[in-house]
Amino acid sequence: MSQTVKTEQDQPIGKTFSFMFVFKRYPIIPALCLLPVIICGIFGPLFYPHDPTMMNLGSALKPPAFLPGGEFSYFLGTDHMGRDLLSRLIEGARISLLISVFGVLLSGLIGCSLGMLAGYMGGKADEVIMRVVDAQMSIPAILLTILLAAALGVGVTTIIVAISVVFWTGYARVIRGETVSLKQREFVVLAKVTGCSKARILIRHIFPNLISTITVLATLQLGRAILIEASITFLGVGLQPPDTAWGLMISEGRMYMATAWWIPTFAGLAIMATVLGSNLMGDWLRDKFDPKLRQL
Amino acid sequence: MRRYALKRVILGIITVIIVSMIIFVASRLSGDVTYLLLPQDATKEEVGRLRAKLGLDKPLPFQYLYFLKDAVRGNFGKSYRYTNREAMEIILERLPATAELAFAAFLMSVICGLLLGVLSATKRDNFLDTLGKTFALIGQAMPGFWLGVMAILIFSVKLGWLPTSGRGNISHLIMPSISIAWFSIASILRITRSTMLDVLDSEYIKTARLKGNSELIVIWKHALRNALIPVLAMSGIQLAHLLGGVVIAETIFSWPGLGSLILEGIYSRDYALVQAGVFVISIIFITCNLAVDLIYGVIDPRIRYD
Repeated sequence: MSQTVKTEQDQPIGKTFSFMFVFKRYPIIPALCLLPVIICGIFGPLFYPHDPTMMNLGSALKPPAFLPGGEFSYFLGTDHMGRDLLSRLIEGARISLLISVFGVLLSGLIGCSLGMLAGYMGGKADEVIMRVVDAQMSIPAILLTILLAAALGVGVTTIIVAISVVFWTGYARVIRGETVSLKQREFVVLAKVTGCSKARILIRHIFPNLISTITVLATLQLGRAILIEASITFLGVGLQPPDTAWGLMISEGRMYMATAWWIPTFAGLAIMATVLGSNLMGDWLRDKFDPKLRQL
Repeated sequence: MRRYALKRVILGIITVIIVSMIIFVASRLSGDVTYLLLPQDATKEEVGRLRAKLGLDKPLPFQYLYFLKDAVRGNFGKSYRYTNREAMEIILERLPATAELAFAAFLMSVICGLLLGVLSATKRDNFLDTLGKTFALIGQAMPGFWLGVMAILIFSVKLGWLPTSGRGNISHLIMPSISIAWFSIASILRITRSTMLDVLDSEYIKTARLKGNSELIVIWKHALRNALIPVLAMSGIQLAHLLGGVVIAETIFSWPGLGSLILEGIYSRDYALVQAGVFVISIIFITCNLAVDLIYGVIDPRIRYD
């Protein structure tokens, strides 16, 4: 058995089988952070211990089960309305995932198409698109999201739209750069010689070469989208009370912080674990696909 | 250099104009403002008169031109929330508080980020390095507003060491600036570490060592100076994070600055105030970025010929 391990090509020289090797090869830590969130996001309603919106003032502000006075049925305690925190965390994962995944997809669609267009066409189109990117980046992302969310009104769709409008610039900038360098490569030049249309070159020849970059970017943007959504919800311009979101749990929990520290704490830890997971997954994908993208 | 500087300045001006367009469009998305300004039983005539007075009856491009003409003079109209004072006047009143907070956060993030980054790179795979890397990862994942809330819980509510809110002496400044700087420290640490590792590998560092310089001089003088260039290039993005963080931190810690003013404006739909505030923040950002670009051109002459 040890024989086969030693002959493995990736085995670092002079070292016996190490744990770091497993961690480098498979995204174990990112998966550990992300999987619970994804499972809660998709199958959440199947295993809520309680209804996340059901109020029960009799059991308000109960501490978590591991503290004196805690009940096992309310494992992470309850909030000021007597709602079960664990169920609310699970429900929060659903909304966070929904918003961030759709936000990232939509902004990716806008950003990648415009970035490819700017990079491939060059000239006026490039100039205009990149100026808008520069200008938009000089308004802090959080401020622009607040502005858009406030202007468009409250709701899940609004936040998805706001996040897409704010985040497309990140894709556009990187994808444009990649497209410019791909454009000069031989296979693109040859495709042009054989008479391929511009659309065909962009979709069939350039786009497939961008997929790894886009995947890495999208994974890294996912964490940012979750942070921004939580921030604007916390500030009161994102999701509003009948909804359940992590940012809301923190802003509501603030008032009861002195007596019930668990309300904002667990919600914050949930955000942190999710963002950490998607950042680490992005780093891992980048090292796997394309180590030269280090600066991202 | 002069051509490069001129080009940067022109690009900066174009950016300001596009920013003004974005702000204009975003503020028009929310629809008609007349229903906010008039009583509910206002007649059609009254609404029409107000629309004409505000210039809302003209086509959108014209409205934008009027907006731009006034914006250039710093005139964004009157804030109706603050008893009809000029929006710009209120903004400028609040600016020093924001500048104080942003500057404190900036200093903190540069000093801590560089220090930890260099230590992490020179003591590679050591305890300090592991600590630095862990901090960089967690720092980029932890929401600043949550850190602020937790800091209030621990240091104000439980321990009673620091005041929960408001502006005053240096103890008021500690928690808000840490909650803003947090993210930037992590990013600066990360980039300093990776560029320092590259630089420390280079020939001229070996030469500097061979000449008999002490390790302290090699690292902090020869290596850091060259590692600073990418850090400087990234500081523009950091500044955007910083200014965004200011908005959140000011709200949590009730800091009487621009950010909390803009949010109040958004809650009460005081668009003159919001437009002026966002515009001023963007101008600050664009000016700082221009400065960074120019400094970059002086330090690294290659960039001028791009």
